[in-house]
Parts: sequence; structure tokens; C-alpha cells
Amino acid sequence: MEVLKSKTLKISEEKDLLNIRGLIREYAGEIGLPEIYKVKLLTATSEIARNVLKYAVSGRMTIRILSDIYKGIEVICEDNGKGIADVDSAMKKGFSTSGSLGLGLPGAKSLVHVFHIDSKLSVGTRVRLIVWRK
Amino acid sequence: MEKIPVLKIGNLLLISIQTDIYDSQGLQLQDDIANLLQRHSFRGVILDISSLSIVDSFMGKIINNIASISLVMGAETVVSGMQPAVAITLVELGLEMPNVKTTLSLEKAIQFFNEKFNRETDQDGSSQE
Amino acid sequence: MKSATVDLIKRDEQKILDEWLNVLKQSNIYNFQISDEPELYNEIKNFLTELSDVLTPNTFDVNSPEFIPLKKMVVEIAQKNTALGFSAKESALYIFSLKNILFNLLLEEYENDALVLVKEIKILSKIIDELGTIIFDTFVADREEIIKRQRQELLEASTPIINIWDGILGVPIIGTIDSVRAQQIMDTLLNAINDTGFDVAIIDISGVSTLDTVTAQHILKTAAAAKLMGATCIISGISPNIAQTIINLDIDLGQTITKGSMSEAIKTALEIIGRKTKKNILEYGKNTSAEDRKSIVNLNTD
Ligand SMILES: Nc1ncnc2c1ncn2[C@@H]1O[C@H](COP(=O)(O)OP(=O)(O)O)[C@@H](O)[C@H]1O
Ligand SMILES: [Mg+2]
Repeated sequence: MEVLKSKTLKISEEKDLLNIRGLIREYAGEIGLPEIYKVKLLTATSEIARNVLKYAVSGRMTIRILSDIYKGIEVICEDNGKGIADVDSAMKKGFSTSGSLGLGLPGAKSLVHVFHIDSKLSVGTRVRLIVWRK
Repeated sequence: MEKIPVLKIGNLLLISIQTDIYDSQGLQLQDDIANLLQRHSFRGVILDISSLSIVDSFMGKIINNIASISLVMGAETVVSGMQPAVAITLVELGLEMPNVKTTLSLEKAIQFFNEKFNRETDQDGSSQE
Repeated sequence: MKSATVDLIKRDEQKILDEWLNVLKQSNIYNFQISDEPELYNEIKNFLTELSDVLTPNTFDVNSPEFIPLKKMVVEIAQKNTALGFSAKESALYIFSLKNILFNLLLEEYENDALVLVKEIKILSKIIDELGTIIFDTFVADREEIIKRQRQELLEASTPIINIWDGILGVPIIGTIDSVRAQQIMDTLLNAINDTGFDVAIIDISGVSTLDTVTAQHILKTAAAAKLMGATCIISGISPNIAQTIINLDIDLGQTITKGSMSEAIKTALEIIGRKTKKNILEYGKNTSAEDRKSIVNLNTD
């Protein structure tokens, strides 16, 4: 697998969410990702980036163009926040510690081809997404 | 941060969301609509999202909140022009919009309210006879 | 490779070209017309010039960078031939026929030095063989591309969106649908709704032999997405068999409107768009020409 492009953006304020979306749009255009996959990826990325702002205060997001049998876009989101106590519960639809919809993590998972989450209490959270241009 | 403009047309509120918006703009919009509905007797709210390319769970929740607030204040909310990719994404996300009426375009939203108001006047008329 | 060999190729260029052109003309792979001759001649001349330029006493590795222009040339020739409908073997003959001509040349030149002859033939043969494999590779890659494209076209063609009535779209689903096709149908239908502004879409599944959970889920998701857009989906053609499946699999139809037959579905659709059934309603799909269907399908693909 080859990495054709890579860029890391910070997440510490609302404005960063729009920058991240902008970069994903740019990369999606470069590999000719169909509209539907682009919108799914943008939405999934929005969800996990917002979680960083909401639960971890700040973090960073690396966005890369991958080239394997297919081309694809990978998003790696890392923070050094408080971490998630019970990842299995957090992945369930409707689970929220903030009284919001609890659709972010499970929703993001169903919108992309690859979804990994690692989290350690008081260490931080790392979420990785890939959407392939199949 | 710039406010999302809310147009007042007769007894309707019309909001057309043109681009990606900040979360705070969304929250502000929700407040603005609530205030307007409280102060005046608007009968309907039209949210045209035909230019909006993504609606995530946050934006979805704002739309649902606006619909619920309207309902309490005696107004109906219509969301118009949702893009196919956005609709599929919301379904995958599992986000439902139970209190929201949807139409394919802004014109159809306006038409919906016109017909609704006409029906109501007709009924009022006949019941008085 | 000996510099004498390279010189030889350069010296006898004209002779080689004449012979090569002749072989190509006579091989029945080319449906040869006199008017093609100058073009073909130019092509092989360029090729030979490039080959003799790149051959020096110390180049014999096709993978070295000097060979890139020559390889590009071979790829172009192969692509052109594929487009003309040549088989891989026919395309490869193009390069391999040069081999014989060059060998004969070497045979004459090194008549009295068997060792050098064998060495030179070995080198040249390796180079030409490798160029020949490029032809095969290009051919295979092109074919794969064609197959991929055809598969896509087939997928699209197998989801004809039919204009049933002003305001009503129909999509008959026939055969077994896998997840890829279900996704395709979903996208095509929703884009058609968006483009036409039609309020009702009828998904007819009477042609579906078996309905599994995944497929059912896709259809229901399509209906839910259409509703979010502001349109209504009606699922028609639910046979007793499929009704049974729905019950057995415990599939939640939610608010989806389902109808047994297409005509019932159309009646409901007309009620929704606020019109009374008229006599002259298009018979389902009958008056929609293949051309129309295609144009609707094309209209709605990314
Ligand atoms: N980056 C993070 N750091 C800490 N906790 C997180 C993070 N992301 C998600 N969580 C936890 O997982 C829960 C579920 O997240 P999500 O599915 O996005 O729903 P919501 O944000 O609506 O609560 C959150 O309520 C929160 O407790
Ligand atoms: Mg969240």
C-alpha cells in the first residue's frame, strides 16, 4: 500500500472542522471518489472530529490518499483527552454521556469501509477510517 | 460569526442554508427561530437545504429541534431539497426526522403551505355557514 | 551487445523495414489496405530507430530507464491494436515478426563466429521477448478495463428507471440482487427523483425470485431516503411468497407503503400526486422505448 498524499490538521476549534472538510473534498476530487462516498466520508469525519472538540478538547487529524488495489482516503483522528471508559457501549446507537443523539461513533462506522477505534482512559482516543474508491 | 438569515414571508419563515455552517451558527439559528415563533404567529418554517452537501448528527439534531420547537408553537416545519447522498447518509446514520415534513424543492414547500392554508380557510368558511 | 550488432541494425535499417513491412502486410492479421501503408511504415520505422538508439554495447536490460520511451511506444501500439480488435497474439506478432528478420541478419553477419552469434541472439531475443510481454500486459489491462466498464454499464442498464406518469417514476427489479446492485439501484433511483422532481417512485419487486434480509434492507433504506428527500416510495409486486419471507425474517416495514400489484401501486401513486386515474395511462413500461430508459439512466449516473 502506498501513501500518495498526507496532511495533518489540528482540531481545537470549530473552524478546524470546516478546514478538515475542505481537505477531504480536495482529496476526494483528486481520486474521483463518487459523490455518495464523499458525503459519507465527510459525515463520518465530522462526527469523530466533533467528538474530539466535545470530549477531548483538542486533537489532530491526518488525512491521506492511499493507493492499493483501489485508491482511497484514510482519516486518522487522535486526541490525548480523557478516553472512553467503555468502547463497546460507546459504539452502540443511542449511547451518549452528553445527552446528545449517540449516533456519532456507530454512524461513522456504518458509513465507511474500514473503521477502527482505540481508546484508553486518561490517555486518549484514536479513530481510523478508510473509504475506498471501488 | 455571520448569522444565517431568516426571511419572513407572510406567515412563513424561510431559511436557506447555503454552505457548510459552524455548529454555533446552527445553534444560533435554532434560537432565532424559537424567538421569532414566540413573538409572532408564524404558521410554518421552511428550511431549504438543497445547497447543503452534508448533514451530520449535529445538524440533524438542530433540524429536529427546530421542528419540535415549531410544533410546540403551532407551526409546521418543512425541510426542502435534501440531496440524495445526504438522505442516504442520514438513513445509514440512523437519524430519523419524525416531526419533519419534507419536499423535493423549495417551490413544493411553498405550495404545500399554500394548499394547507387554503384548505383551512375553506374549512373555516364551510363550518361558519 | 556488440557495437558491431548495433551498427549492423543501423546500416541495414532500410532492408529490415522493407522486410518487416512485408511480413506484416502478408500476415492476415492486418486487414491491410494500401492507404494504411505509409502509416504503418512510419510506425515501424520509429520503433526501429528507437530500438537501435537505445541499444548500445552495454544496454541489454529492458528495465533500465533508457528503455522507457521504447516501452511507451510498445504500449501505444498495443493499445491501438486492441482498439482495432486485434487479439493479444496478433498484437504480439507485430513485435515477434521483427525477431526473425533480425536473427537472419545476425546469422549472415556472424556466419563464422558461432559463439558471438549465440550471445547476440540471446541478448536480442531477451529484449524482444520482454517487449512482447508488454504487449500482452497492455492487452490484459485494456481488457480488464473494458470488462469493468461493461459490468458498470450492465449494472446501470439493469436498473431502468421508467417514467410511468408525470410525477411517478418506476423501477422494476428483476432477478437476484446482490448488495452491489441494490446499492446501485438505490443511488440511481434517488438521483432520478432529484433530477425529475417526481414525487412518487414505485419499486416493483414482482420479478425478484427470492428476497433476503440484506436486499430487503436496501429497498427499505431507499424508501426511507426517498422520504427524507420529500418523495414517497411504494413497493409493489409483493408475492405471497415474499410476504411470507418478510414475516419469517421479521423485517420491519416501518411506514413503507406496500402493494400487491403494479396497478394498485399506480392507483395509490396517482392519489398521492392528486390526480384521478385516466384511461390513457401508460401501460407499465410498454411505451417507454429502450432509448428513453437509457437516457433516463444516463442522466442519473455520476
Ligand atoms: N474522542 C473522544 N474522547 C472521549 N470520549 C469520547 C470521544 N468520542 C466519543 N466519546 C464518548 O463516546 C460517546 C458516544 O459518542 P457518539 O457516538 O459520538 O455520541 P454523542 O457524541 O452523541 O454522545 C460519547 O458520549 C462520549 O462519552
Ligand atoms: Mg458524537
